Amino acid sequence: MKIQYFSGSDMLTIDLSDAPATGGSVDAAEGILFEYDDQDRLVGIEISDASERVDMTDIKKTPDIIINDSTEPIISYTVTALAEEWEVSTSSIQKTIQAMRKAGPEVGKQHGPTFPIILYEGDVTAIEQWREAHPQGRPKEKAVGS
Amino acid sequence: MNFKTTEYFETRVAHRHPEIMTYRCYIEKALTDAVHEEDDVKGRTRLYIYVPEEDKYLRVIVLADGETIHNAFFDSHFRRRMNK
Repeated sequence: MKIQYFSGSDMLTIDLSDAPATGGSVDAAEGILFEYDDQDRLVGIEISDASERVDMTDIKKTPDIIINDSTEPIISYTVTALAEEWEVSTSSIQKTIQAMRKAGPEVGKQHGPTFPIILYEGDVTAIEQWREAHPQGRPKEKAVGS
Repeated sequence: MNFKTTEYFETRVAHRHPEIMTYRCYIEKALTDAVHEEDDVKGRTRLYIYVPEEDKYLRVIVLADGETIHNAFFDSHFRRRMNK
């Protein structure tokens, strides 16, 4: 069992098993969600507005509780979104990522082999720096008007 | 378009609901084309969007700024609630 508290968003979660909650979620009561696995077994409980609904003083004393306290939003991009923002082709970004991965630096995150690559701010900076350091070998961007 | 998420989304939702990550495009679409909206706690909003590949409704919860994704999951009872 895993208990986590996210103080930035006041969310308390209790994972009853490691199984992903792929069976969907239902409202058990106001602000309380039950999460199910694909065999309809309860695998998690999510409590919104936790400090209003639960005595957090006791919960915070629970051994092994994980407290997360960031309030900063996290920015991320898909390869397509980054290509649009930089006004370059998607394949150009993909080729850069492939070259970086071949050379070693870990870049982007994938939740599974068929999942889209997610690029966080650190990845975007690393890609930018790589492209500046390796101008050769990248496909030339189409000139405007050509 | 970049994607703004909370620590909660990145730390827990992405791992507990991994299937959601394949439907990132629907999460984005919910911001502009939700079929239904409801108030959530702390000024957050629940946005619902249909995902035909799963024949399910996705509930996307955004912060009060209207753009930061806080939570997303398939709401098993949405259809039933709407049919009441």
